[in-house]
Amino acid sequence: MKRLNLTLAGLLALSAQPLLADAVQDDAAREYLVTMAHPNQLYVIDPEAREVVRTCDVKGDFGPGTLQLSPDERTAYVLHHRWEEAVGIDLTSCEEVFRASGSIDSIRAKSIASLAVSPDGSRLYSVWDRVRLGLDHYEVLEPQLAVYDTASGLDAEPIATFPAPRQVTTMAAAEDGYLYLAGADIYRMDPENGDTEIAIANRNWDRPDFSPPDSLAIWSMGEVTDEFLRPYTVAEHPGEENEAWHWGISRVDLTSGETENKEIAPFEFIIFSMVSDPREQDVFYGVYTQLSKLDSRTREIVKVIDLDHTYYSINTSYDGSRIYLGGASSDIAIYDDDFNDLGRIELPGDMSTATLKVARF
Amino acid sequence: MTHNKKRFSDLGLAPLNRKAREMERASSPEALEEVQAMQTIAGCTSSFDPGWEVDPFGGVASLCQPMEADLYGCADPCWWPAQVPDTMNTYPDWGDGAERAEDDWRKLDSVYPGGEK
Repeated sequence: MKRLNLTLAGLLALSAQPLLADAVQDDAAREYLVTMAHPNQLYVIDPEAREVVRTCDVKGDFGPGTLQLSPDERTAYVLHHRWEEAVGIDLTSCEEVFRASGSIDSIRAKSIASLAVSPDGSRLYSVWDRVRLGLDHYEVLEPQLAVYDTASGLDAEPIATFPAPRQVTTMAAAEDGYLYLAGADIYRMDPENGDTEIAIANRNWDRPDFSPPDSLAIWSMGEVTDEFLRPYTVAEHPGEENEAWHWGISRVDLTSGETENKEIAPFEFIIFSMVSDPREQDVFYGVYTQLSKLDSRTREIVKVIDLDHTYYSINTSYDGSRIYLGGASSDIAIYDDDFNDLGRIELPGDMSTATLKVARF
Repeated sequence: MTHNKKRFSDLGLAPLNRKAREMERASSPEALEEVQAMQTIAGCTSSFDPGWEVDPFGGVASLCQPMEADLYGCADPCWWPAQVPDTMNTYPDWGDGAERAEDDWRKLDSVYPGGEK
């Protein structure tokens, strides 16, 4: 296709400038949606054509379908096989290029959506929650950060492990190499030595007028805006007459390492996952049974619509003009940035807790 | 449980989210008992959760809609182990042959711990 487009562009260059522009655009990287669904398929989807362009069978059973992309966005790493394995799939060929199991011998390990790729693509990280299964008892072990070499192939073992905080779910790797882990607080970990500190205090924040925050973090988006974001709900002046409930965000800029924590809008409906607008970082889109647009500059709900069913996972196109909804049930919905319905893509299986990622290649 | 007149705080439990705070503010201990908190070991995890039936605002509009859209989202992560069998550990084959819950929910059967699935 690339050669054909360039040839056409050459032939038409002098007489048909609009076609040339289209041809050049076609030659650039295309944007695809990537997700997992029951029973064990990874889907590569063209959102423009609204069709599945590649279906990859991934050996093993579904769960949780947490996805992260390699830096060149051509390899997707997925947490798979009932939360016990990390698998790398080449999105251009469906070839399996990496597989590691967290469970070893009598130790059963599950990763609750904890997956990250280093900025150079050479390392894959996961936090495994481990239990030793005895004949008459279970022994809960310390959670462990495992560091893998992504070139280790299909029987990969960690090249390093470090103790990790409990209750960690989503995670991300920053440009400077640090890992950010969403647990009771947002932690910053050095994967070279396991040193861990609180990057953003949540459970341990010192905000006398606020309740502790309540948050849910299972969906690992943020690749479009290069940020790690976790929404929360919180009560201001809890128990008092002027009690007010808010949506807030904890956010890490993965390029600069800057962190922030702030309330952004009233808490009037549930949001399961949230991303910021790639054109304006203080505008946020959230999804659950409603699709919503929140503006932290005015702390207002700008727009909200009811959806035909609940979706868990939200993402946007890189230019911010389209909003993608997935997870839960088995269709991906596409809206424009004014919430006009642009259509659906039906999948044969349920996406459940899977991430909806945007890849360009 | 009918003799339990204590509030959650009396039991050493602190409300964290909005639903839990609402329960804490029940007009009387007797009113609180109209909705029992569930505490159970159900296959994959211990669970303490006020239930699948009421949203954080005291209504139903903010529950997952329809419930079929939420079935695997609850079964796969062992989210509601009393309401939905967990596919994570205990009933891994529960969803076999029912890949789209919205179409296939009739194929999803009850399970019986320790017995026939």
